[in-house]
Amino acid sequence: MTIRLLTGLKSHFDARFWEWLLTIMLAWAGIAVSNASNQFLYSAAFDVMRDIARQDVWGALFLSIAIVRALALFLNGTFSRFRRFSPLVRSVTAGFSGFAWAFIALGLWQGAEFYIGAGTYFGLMVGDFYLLSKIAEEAGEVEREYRDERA
Amino acid sequence: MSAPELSDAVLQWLVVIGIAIGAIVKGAWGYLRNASTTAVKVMPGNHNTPSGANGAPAIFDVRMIQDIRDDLRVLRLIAEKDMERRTQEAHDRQLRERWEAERAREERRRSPQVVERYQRMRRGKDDIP
Repeated sequence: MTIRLLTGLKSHFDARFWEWLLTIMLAWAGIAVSNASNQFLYSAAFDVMRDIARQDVWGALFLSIAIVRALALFLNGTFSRFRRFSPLVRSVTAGFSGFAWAFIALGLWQGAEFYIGAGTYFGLMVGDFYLLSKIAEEAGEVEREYRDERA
Repeated sequence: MSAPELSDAVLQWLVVIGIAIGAIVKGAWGYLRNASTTAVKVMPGNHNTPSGANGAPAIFDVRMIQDIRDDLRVLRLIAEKDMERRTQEAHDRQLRERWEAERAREERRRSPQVVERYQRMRRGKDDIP
């Protein structure tokens, strides 16, 4: 099973490199937000998020999205059982990840200064939303192939 | 938050939401477009239709059939153009041959030998009718 997972990961890694990178970054952000004490009070990056929920809630949310996305990346293309829905899961989690970066970017942006972080997180947001649209198209093709096989 | 800051914040939110909505709409459109193509099953035994391995029905999707139809249309246009060209060439060749025959006849009629013979006929020096 482990070998199969690793082989599957290796065979798709090139095509999904950016998804993996963004997943790891989101997981890192989730762990950082969960563990840094009172970070929401001291950093302008979290101004918008602070108004919505607590720090530990956001940390848990980021980490959950990253875990689900990582699972979908592992399983998609490795096990045919998950072939039909895993691209959709990848696409939806890319969208959630995009919103996560958007909240951080907005917090920095509204700091009324040109933080380098604002541009960086804005870029991450655009990247994840772009992946959302591309993977959704791939999901449509998979759905058609799935239906055609059963026709 | 002052009024300029508020308008900046609103603008920033609008940009983010606009990008998000644009990506979602594009993704949904792409998903529906790719997922909605209908499969057409082509059964073996139909004339001039291929079948899959071992005579199993071949599954084509509508886009493949549309591509094949487009290719056939192009081939038909090429064949028609070719036929037109050949017809035109045959017509031109006929006209040219007719013209050359006319010209040859005209030259024979006006050749010095023919003219002299005609004149001798008129003078009664030639009894060839």
